Amino acid sequence: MEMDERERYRIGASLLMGFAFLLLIAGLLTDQWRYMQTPLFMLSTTCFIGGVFLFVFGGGESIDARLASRLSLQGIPALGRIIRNLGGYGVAIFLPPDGPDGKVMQFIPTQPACRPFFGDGGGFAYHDGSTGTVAHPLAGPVLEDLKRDNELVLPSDYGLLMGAIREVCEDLLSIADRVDIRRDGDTVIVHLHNYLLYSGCAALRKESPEVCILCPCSICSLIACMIAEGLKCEVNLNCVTQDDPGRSPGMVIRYTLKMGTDELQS
Amino acid sequence: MRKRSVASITLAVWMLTLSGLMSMCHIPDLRLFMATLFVGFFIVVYTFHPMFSKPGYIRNIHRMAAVCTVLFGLVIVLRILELVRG
Repeated sequence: MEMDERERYRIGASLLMGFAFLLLIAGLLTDQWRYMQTPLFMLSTTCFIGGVFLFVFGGGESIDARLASRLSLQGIPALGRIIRNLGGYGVAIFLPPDGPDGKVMQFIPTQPACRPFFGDGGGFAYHDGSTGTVAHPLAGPVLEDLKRDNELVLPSDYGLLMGAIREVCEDLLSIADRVDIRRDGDTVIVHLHNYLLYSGCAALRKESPEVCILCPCSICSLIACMIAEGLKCEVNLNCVTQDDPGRSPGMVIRYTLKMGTDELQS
Repeated sequence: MRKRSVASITLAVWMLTLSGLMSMCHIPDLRLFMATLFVGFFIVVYTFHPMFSKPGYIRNIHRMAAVCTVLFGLVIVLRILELVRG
C-alpha cells in the first residue's frame, strides 16, 4: 500500500512536470516572445508547482506492505510462548517513566504458582499486588528513534497527546489512513483505519489472541508507550479487535488508563 | 484520505481556480498570479504542517517553501520597482 502510494506520487509528479514543460513550449510559441503573460504560462506554472509538491511527498525509501507486516511481527509468537511458559498471563501493563530520564517499562504479570520456581523471588517485581517481570517494551527503540530523528514531542495534555498519536500513525509511520481516538471513562479506544500491517496482525491473532495482548506488537506497544509517557499513567492493553477484512482492513485497540499507580517494587 | 493527499488536492484546486479566474477576468499578469499562488501555497503548508514531529517529507517542504519565499520576494520587489518608476 505504501509503495503504491509513493509510486503514485512520483508518477503524478512526473506527469505534471512533463505537462508543465509542454505548456511552456506552447505558451512560448503562441506568445511570440513578447509578454509571456498568456494563460498557458499560468497553467504551466500551476503544473510545475503541483508537480514539485507531489515529488516532495513521493521521496524516500519504500517497502512492501506485506513484508513490512511480517518483519514487524518477527519473533513475537515465540517470545509470547516463552513468556506464557514462564507463567506470564493476563494483559501487558505499561508503566510510566519513573523520572525525567526514565523510560516506559512493560510489566508482565506471572501466575502465583510459578513463583517457587524462581526461589526467593529473584528477578521478579511486585506491582499493584501482583508478581511479574519487568522488561523494555518492544516499541522502546522505535519511540527513541522517533524522538531523536523526527523530533517527536509527547504533550502531557490528553487532547494534544491524542493529536500526536494520530500524527505518528498517519504521517510519520504511515501505517493507517485515518486514526480515530475516543475516550470512554478510563478506556481509550484507538481505531486504525486501513491498517498497513493488517495481514501480519491477523496471522498473529489467528495463531494466539492471548499472545497478542500479553506480548503486544510494536504498533500496539508504541501507542501504549506514548500514552504512558505523555500522561504519566499506567496503561493496560485490554483487547484488540479487527474490522471486517473484506472492506477496509482496520483495527480497534482498547487501552485502560490507571492514574496514580502504585510504585514498582523489585 | 491522508493529509498529504488532501494538501495536494487543495493546492491543485487553488491553483486551477486562480488561473481560471484570472483568465476569465482577462488579467494576464503572471507576477500577480504567482504572488497569489504562493500565498495559497504558504497557507496550505501552514495548515497541514505537523505539530508534534517532523516527518521526512517536511524537510523537503521547508526547502520548497524557502524557494517559494525567494520567488515571492522577487515578484514583490519587481512590482515595487515598477510602481516607483511609474
